[in-house]
Amino acid sequence: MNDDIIISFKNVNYRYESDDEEISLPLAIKNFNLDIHKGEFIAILGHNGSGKSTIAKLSNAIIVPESGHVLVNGMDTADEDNELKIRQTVGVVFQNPDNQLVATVVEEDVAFGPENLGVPQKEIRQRVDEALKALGMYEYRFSEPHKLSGGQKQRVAIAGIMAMKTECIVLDEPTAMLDPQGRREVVKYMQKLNKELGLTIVLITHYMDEAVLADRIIVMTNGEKVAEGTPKQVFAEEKILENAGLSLPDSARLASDLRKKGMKLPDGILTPDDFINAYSNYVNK
Amino acid sequence: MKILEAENVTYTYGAGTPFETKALDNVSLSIEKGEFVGIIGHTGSGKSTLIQHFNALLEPQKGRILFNGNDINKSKDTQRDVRFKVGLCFQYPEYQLFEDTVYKDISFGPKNMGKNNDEIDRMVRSAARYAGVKDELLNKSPFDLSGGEKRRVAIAGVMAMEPEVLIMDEPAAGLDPRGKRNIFSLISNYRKKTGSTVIIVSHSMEDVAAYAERVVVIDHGKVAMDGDVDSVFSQADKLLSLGLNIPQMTYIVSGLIKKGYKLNPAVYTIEKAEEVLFSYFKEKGEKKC
Amino acid sequence: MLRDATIGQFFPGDSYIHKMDPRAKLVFSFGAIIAIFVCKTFESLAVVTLAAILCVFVSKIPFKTIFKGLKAVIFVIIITAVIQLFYVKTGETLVEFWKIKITTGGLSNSIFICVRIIVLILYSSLLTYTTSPTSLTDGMERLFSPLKIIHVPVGTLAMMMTIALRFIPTLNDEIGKIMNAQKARGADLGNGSVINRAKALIPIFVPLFVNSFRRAYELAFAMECRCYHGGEGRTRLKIMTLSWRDYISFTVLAVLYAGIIILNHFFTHVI
Repeated sequence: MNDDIIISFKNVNYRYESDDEEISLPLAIKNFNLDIHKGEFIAILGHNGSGKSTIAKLSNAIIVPESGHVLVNGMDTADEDNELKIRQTVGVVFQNPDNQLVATVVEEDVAFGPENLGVPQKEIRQRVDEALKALGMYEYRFSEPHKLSGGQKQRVAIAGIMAMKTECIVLDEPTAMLDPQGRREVVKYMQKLNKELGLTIVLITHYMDEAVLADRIIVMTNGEKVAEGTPKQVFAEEKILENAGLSLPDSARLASDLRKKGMKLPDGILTPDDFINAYSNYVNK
Repeated sequence: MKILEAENVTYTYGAGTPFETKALDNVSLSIEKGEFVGIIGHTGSGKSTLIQHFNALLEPQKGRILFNGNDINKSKDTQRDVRFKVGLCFQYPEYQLFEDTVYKDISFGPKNMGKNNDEIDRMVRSAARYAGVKDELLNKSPFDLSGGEKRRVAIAGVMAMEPEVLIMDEPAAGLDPRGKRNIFSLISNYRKKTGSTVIIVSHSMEDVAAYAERVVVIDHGKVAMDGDVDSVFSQADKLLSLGLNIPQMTYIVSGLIKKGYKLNPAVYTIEKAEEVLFSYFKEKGEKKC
Repeated sequence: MLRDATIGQFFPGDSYIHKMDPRAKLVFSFGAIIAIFVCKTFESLAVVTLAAILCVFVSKIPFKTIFKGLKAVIFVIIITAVIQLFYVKTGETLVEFWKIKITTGGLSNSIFICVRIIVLILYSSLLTYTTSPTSLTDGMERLFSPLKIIHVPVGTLAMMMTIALRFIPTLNDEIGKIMNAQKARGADLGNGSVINRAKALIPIFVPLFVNSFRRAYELAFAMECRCYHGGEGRTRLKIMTLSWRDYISFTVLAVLYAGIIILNHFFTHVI
């Protein structure tokens, strides 16, 4: 057992139950292996229906594998006795911010997790304030959730998970329903939690420019892992991404198109700023 | 020829209450027949309020909305009539499906128009084709479809009314890159084949830049910018000052211009960026030689 | 906009009554309402009425607002008054024509009942006007928590109530969106015969139900992720403590009862 690993997927297979008992649905997750290290920022990329959201639910015992094991800090998610401990270790934030806030006041919503865990009142207060401050939502603590913007709601949802003192936050397409402003906010705080507070972040997304920020990227298609590596490594595999229904980040695609025309731009251009630097260096040579 | 016009339209939500907010402030805008217009603005800019005026879901508190030169709010009948002529497809339209088969759902609009069964059948099938809804799906329940399929069924439901103007609010919201490409290519195909006027409302500069011919930027209930795609996207700084994202390609080119490179600023698609940057590189190379 | 609609009848403020513990407010309102029914004389009813008016003053809620609430039940009040007027036939006859006879007993009874209903509404609306639905739910949860002993799932019921309150504005928004979307496809809402109108609701309610189920499903996952496992063993962020305000309100209630009992004893009973 490696102490450094927070979530470990070992040969995981999973299939959803069909409404019709006669029909058995195909596997949603096929022989999936992945070790997520403490403090890592990992992005899981895939098209809709690639199985990437299933990974989120498997990671904290909302569902358990048909075969294989998911271990959270060494605890098997299939063992019901571990359930609460696992959910205090790994929290999941979902796509629709409206459907995960339970209370009518922001601070009470953030308190929901610690309240369920039976944390003493004084400590709940402290945790709620800390979490709200970390997400820049402290001044909204008395607001009603439905009056917040999408990005703010999502930050409250993240604070609600943080207040349980989780070590790892899995975010399942947290920005898919947000406007550009909301997306920027969520991405900014996600990075902050990872870099400054050392939380492990698993970001499930289909936005390439978000995935670029991760330490490591996993690409999923039809329930299988088809690519894995640093953003530079993964985004060098244009064919695999294409087949996975994804595209390169725009700057990377531009660089790759220009390379095809004979410009010898360096590898690993992922962001607009990368491109600007690489292009001006190359043209000035 | 002007097909849709907003004349000095003002609209305030919750007038007279403490929650009063001015959503549209003396907006005048006209849309030409056959145009492909992109409307951009951040959340709360008033762009959704504006498009709900175009099919009489909202009535201007001041000003008028004209369709082919006629005031659409003259009577209840003209208001209802304009709904069929200006088809409005809301954000996440799949959440509004309700019938037990896809066919019936798509036929809801034509039925409300009072068409006969043959007409309805023709309209449903042609809309299904434009929206990329396969024939074998027509008898299925819309609730059994995948997210992308549901979205296309909902879009077909609006196209089936054969509106002269098709307005779509964030048609690709929440879809993955492939789904997004599909939706946009079916919209531009629909426009090519039917010659309809199309208005797309979006946050995504990239999508608007790639498909629209004209861009209208709404900010604080006013038209802040209006012009062809080149003229709007060449003003990167102004877009940024309005709190909008600019396409990555526009960002790259304007960044290079700031570094002293003499490039054409009207760049917003990868193809265009490639062309501009490559020809600059070639010219420079030739000069050196 | 729909999202700005006030839920319930809460009027935020910082009056003495607004600051009271919701439990004390519940007890006081309930106590005062019972007191109305303990009254048997005009004199004792006057005391309860005056107390109610005093409370409205203290709450700083404009009487106009309170009377708006009364408007809704004016019909009930009139019917009750008329029934009392004609059916109680004690005392001297005031007017008599055809089969109808109005007596002094009938008149005083009818006035008495009207005042009772009005005061009852005064007290109960004061409670909802000065207490946010959230703290009302919290107050009820804690007040009824002894019922847990007889296996009443108080915590779960309160949770349901909170979630309902949380989702009312969301669903409100959603109804608006669905209605607009169907109108955009030419749906004709609110016209024609009753059957047609009922039919016109199908395109609104089917998506609303489908979406609500989806929301409920997603919410259940989210709650599980946050370690919700029923009401047992939960602690709370907010601890409610009774303050001097609340003790004063209990004293007022006690004085009120003493007054009523004394006045009931010394004056003629109306009822």
